Amino acid sequence: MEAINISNSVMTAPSVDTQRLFTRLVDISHKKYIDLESFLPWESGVDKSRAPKLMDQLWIHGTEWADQLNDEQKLETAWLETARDASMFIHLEHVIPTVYAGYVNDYRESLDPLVYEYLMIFAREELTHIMAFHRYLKTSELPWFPRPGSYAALSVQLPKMRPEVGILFTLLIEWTAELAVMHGTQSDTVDPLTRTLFREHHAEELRHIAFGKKIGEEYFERASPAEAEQSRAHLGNLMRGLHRVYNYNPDIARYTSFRFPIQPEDEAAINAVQTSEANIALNAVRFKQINDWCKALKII
Amino acid sequence: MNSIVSEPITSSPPIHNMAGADNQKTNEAIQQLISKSLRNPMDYHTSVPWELGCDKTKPAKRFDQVWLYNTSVWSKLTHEQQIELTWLEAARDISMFINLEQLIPQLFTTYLVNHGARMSPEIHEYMMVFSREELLHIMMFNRYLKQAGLEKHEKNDFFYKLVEKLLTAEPEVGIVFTLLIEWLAECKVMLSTQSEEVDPVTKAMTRAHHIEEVRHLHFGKTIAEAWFARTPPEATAEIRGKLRDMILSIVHAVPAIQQYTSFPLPCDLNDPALIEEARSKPHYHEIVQARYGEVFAWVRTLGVDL
Repeated sequence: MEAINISNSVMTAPSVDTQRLFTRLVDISHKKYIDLESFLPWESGVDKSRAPKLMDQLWIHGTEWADQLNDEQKLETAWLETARDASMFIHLEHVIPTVYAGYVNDYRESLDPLVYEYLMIFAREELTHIMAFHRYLKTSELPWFPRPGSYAALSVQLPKMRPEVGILFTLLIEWTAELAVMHGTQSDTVDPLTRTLFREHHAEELRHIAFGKKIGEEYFERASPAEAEQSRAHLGNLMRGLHRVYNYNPDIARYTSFRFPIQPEDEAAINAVQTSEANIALNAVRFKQINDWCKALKII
Repeated sequence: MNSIVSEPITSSPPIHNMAGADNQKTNEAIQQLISKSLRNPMDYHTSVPWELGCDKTKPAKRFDQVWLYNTSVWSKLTHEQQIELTWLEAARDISMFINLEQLIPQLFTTYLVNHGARMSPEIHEYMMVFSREELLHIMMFNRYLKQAGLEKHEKNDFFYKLVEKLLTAEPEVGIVFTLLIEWLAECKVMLSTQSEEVDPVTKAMTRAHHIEEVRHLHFGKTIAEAWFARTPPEATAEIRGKLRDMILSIVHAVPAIQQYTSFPLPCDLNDPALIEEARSKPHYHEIVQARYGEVFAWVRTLGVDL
């Protein structure tokens, strides 16, 4: 693939402040990273009598369909929702090493050495995360949800974009997913293995998010107005779609042991859940951080 | 624990038709590789004794493994110059590893995205482990070059063009090509560095790298053998021809180090007469056989004529 001209960009010549941050990220990542065998007490397994997330964050919470489920069915639904979240991490995190390793190959020595190194660290950590989430699904006997069609397109489109924009795309998807799972799982009531998995994953993702944010902020400072406007439009579209996806995924009906009250073809019901008052209120809280950041950069 | 990779639930069962994927013994063997890799992964800070620092008064490889050794030029060099050449050849070899290993994660993760459904969970998982290990190797090699004050050589166009083609090929083809490049490189550096006289950091790093590469080679050979066994010879003829050309070109490559010497080399490394002189010596053939004999024997079993 023909590389885009990225000279004088944050990818090749980051500011001194940015270099300082990237130095810290590289150093910490080499010192402290997830060891797949030991970072979780895998041998304990999950406790499916406990919820894997806060029950008031069920996708259908606060809607008429929630009232149609008994407690046992709600618990099963919560585990399947968590399976969806882990599956989406797997699918996205599969795309990232391909795209980032592609940037490393395409731009190689023209990249700032810290950016070059951190892209590899980032890709490496994502591979570890994929394996961790696979192991979690298997240990919990949960299904691996199929890859959304849009993710296949990502692995084709992102390498063609400026690397900063590709990094921003993955940042917004990962950050949204992180906020959603962290908001839903970090409570004493939650199954301990699930809770620890997401917390440990988050510790590495925080670094990825810090990297992506810095790349994005410096990119928008340097981009021409026309280019920045175009990137904002793409990223804004992505953000609007992401919330809907997180609010409800129709595939869940394929996995429940009982007939789910919303069938995959019931578009009216799906739309109602995706835009329910409960979900809108939840999003206002859990996605506040990313929304504020996007607003500051005029992405939304 | 069996493979940690779960299967996506789809309306029909997945067809694991990648070579080796439907063989239980193969999957068990790959599972062992995964378990070993996860139990004892390389660590950026502790797997190599970086604190020793590279000792450039010592050679980075055995003298008898330097390309110019046993030519009329070698005796014209001072001991210091001979040592410098070992370091420059090491820089060239390490740069080649970086060049190749930088391409593998992109290649393998592309296969995972595009051909994941054809893989058994064990193959799927090991290709992630493999990519993850290569990413750390690249960082380790970059650190080594920096510590030793060596220049990284330019990107190798051959690898980049090859990978462009491999990205759209079947995973088995990509695996066999990368296997052979890595295997040849491993044979060369291991034979030349594991001696007492060699700089301890170089020796230890090469060894630590080799431990993970042995598993990569095992994986690559397993997949390649399964693929050649089930593919009709006429369908692999072109690939076998390309493998042959690639192997010979790597084996007989003249190290491009001339531009990096601190002193004027008393020869042109690309001089056909010098190349002829080097290659005509019995020593050259002995070294080639000692380094690569194992690879040659294996590729012949696949029908690659050398």
